[in-house]
Amino acid sequence: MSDAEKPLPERLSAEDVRDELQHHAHLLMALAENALLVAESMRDNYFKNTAAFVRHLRLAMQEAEQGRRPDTPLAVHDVSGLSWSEVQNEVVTFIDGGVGQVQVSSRMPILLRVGSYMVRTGERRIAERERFGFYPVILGDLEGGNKERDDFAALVRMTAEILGGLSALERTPDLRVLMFHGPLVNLAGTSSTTGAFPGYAGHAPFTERDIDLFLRRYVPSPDLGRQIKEEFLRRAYLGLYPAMTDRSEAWVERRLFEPLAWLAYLYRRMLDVAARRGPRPIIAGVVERGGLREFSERVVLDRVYRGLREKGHGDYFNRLFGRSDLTSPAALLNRLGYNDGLLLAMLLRPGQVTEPWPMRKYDALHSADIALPGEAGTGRVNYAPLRTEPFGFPRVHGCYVHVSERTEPVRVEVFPDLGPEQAIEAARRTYLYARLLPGYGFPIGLDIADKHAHVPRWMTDAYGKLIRFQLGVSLQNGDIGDAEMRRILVQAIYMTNRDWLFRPDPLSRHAHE
Amino acid sequence: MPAATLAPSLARAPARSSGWPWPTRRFASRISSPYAELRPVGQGETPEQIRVWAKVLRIERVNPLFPLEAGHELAATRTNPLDTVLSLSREMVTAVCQVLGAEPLRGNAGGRLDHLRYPPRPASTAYRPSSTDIARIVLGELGEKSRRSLDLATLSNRPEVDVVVDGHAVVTRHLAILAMTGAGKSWTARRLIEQLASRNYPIVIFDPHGDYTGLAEVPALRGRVRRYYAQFPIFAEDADTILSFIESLG
Repeated sequence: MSDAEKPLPERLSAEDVRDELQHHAHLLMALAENALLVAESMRDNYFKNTAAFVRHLRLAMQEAEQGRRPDTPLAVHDVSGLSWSEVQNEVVTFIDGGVGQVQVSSRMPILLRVGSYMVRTGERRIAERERFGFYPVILGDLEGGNKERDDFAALVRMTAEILGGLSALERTPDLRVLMFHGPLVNLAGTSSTTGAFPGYAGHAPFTERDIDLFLRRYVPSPDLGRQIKEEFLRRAYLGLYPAMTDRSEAWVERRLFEPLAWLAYLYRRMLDVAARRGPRPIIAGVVERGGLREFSERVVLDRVYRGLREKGHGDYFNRLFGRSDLTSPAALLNRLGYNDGLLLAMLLRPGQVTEPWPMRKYDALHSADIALPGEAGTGRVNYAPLRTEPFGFPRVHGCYVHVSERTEPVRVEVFPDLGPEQAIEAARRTYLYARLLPGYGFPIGLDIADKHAHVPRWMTDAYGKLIRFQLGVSLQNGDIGDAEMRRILVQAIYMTNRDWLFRPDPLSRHAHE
Repeated sequence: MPAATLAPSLARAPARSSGWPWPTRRFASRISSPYAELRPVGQGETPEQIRVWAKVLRIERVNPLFPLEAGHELAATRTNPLDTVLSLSREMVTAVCQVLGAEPLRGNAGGRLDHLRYPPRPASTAYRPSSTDIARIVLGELGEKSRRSLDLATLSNRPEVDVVVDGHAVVTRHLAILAMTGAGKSWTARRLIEQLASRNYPIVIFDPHGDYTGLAEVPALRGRVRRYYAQFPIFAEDADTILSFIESLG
């Protein structure tokens, strides 16, 4: 019997809902934190009113399931029925990227790492069963991009991850599932709550040397790498660059790769390759602890508000919480601190997935002023053509899968252009893979890829000692003449044991400035 | 090659120490020896290559990519891990080693180990030492002073490697043999006595338990062992007195 089929205790009385919320530690903690952050007038009855709201939503969902009402605030499906025997001989690749740990402290990340883990289920020969890949990217090696900005690392990471996925597709003709850790499309600067672009500030284009650095690690052959570059530049020359900038001729002549245009092209290419396969690979991104509230606002609460108004109960939330400003989904979420993960954890049962919804990832792609590599002046670039066909990013649908009562639901993102079955198939496998880690509630293959790409602490510590030793030798030999560099190195080498020596001097001239 | 290839050898204090080596009959501890390179400060100087000796303290078989939680789930659902997306290829054996010291890779320090002043390169290979290398470390300077060495035993997993102690130290200083029950204290003492006797040292043994009476039967000592027995006069007493006396002994 699957989790979703198990007879649940009565979930619909006010007391039962309150008890249930209190018995799940992650829910209780999240609600307790929220209760401290909401307005004082809502604090006292926050928990009780939340339970009442959840109860009404559950009632509405149940009535819709039983055919007693035509609309539902949230349609759910059961994905817990899939078993391992049904997914034998499937090739699955998991991709995970992250910031590499280094022992030299710095505000900016220095190293990005992307790891991949490919496995064929049911394969008994261990040597044939699994394959691992590890691709480090040193940010300083790249000529393009604005390295001083925080979103640069995110941009490079996304590019490297998609190249890793594209590489897995090209190298594995029978790839069935390609699963990314994190949003399927995560453009630099995307808001973590709404998912929308608050305003992409633009990055200097990558040079051909940058692209070669990327491609060298991922593309199976140099010929394919050349083909990819030429195809991108041809498409950019014919349509995209002229729509983005009035200096398109110079961009193509200098063989520049605008980062978002390049990224969008890689997505398009990945979809093209996948669409030619039969059966089409399932491509998904799985997000944990996203903090997003787009689904709650645009789907669940939008329907709730509409239904309440139709029935003449438009002031339901104001009466429930004793306020007058809870007049829209956005206002409700703002005031009460709910997000998708929290709300759906209270509504879904383990093994259930929400209906997919079209995510708004590109709404705020507007324009920005950027400088080309080696140039001081800036020029206006229009990013709007990247929102849609034929050159822009592909559409993304999202849904939430509830794996375990101990964790929040995870978000699964798919490309609807690859077929309507993508969301449900990705959700079924996400649940199956994550059931092996019920305490984490996350697909175990992504956890494996992450662990494999992660350099263990004992090794970074040991290399840290080596680096400090070599720096110490260079200092002793007088190889480092720059005074500021010498000061930084002395701190880096000796600070661990003598950090009190480097406390700011309150009497120094700098302290008063 | 695994991260740490292990070799049976002798557990002992660094040879440089003036302390007495721990003499027991059989040793199960092990030593491995990754190589390392010391680069002196300055340009143009030849790096000094050393061999690092370490004692394996703990051996573990782990798969860092296989969470314990997943094992529980597999067991609960009776699922074959090969049918899932779990990784099974990264199982490895790791060992925690205690560095004993280092000696020059070339030349001969007489089995003496110096303190290691610099850590070996991370993830460097560990080697299984040869019996010759182990013997050099175990014997130390006794390897060149065989007249002083007392042959005690061989290593449990390397019968070709002798375990000897410095006879000079034994007879000129104090000696205590300390070990757990059953570790071989009496056996070690008996071997010491045999070895010293074979070098014509006069030895007096107080043997209240009779542990060493068998020395008289050792062929090499036959006719050279004299036994002296304590004599306890027994007076005629009635049975009850004798019984109460025996009971009072506890």
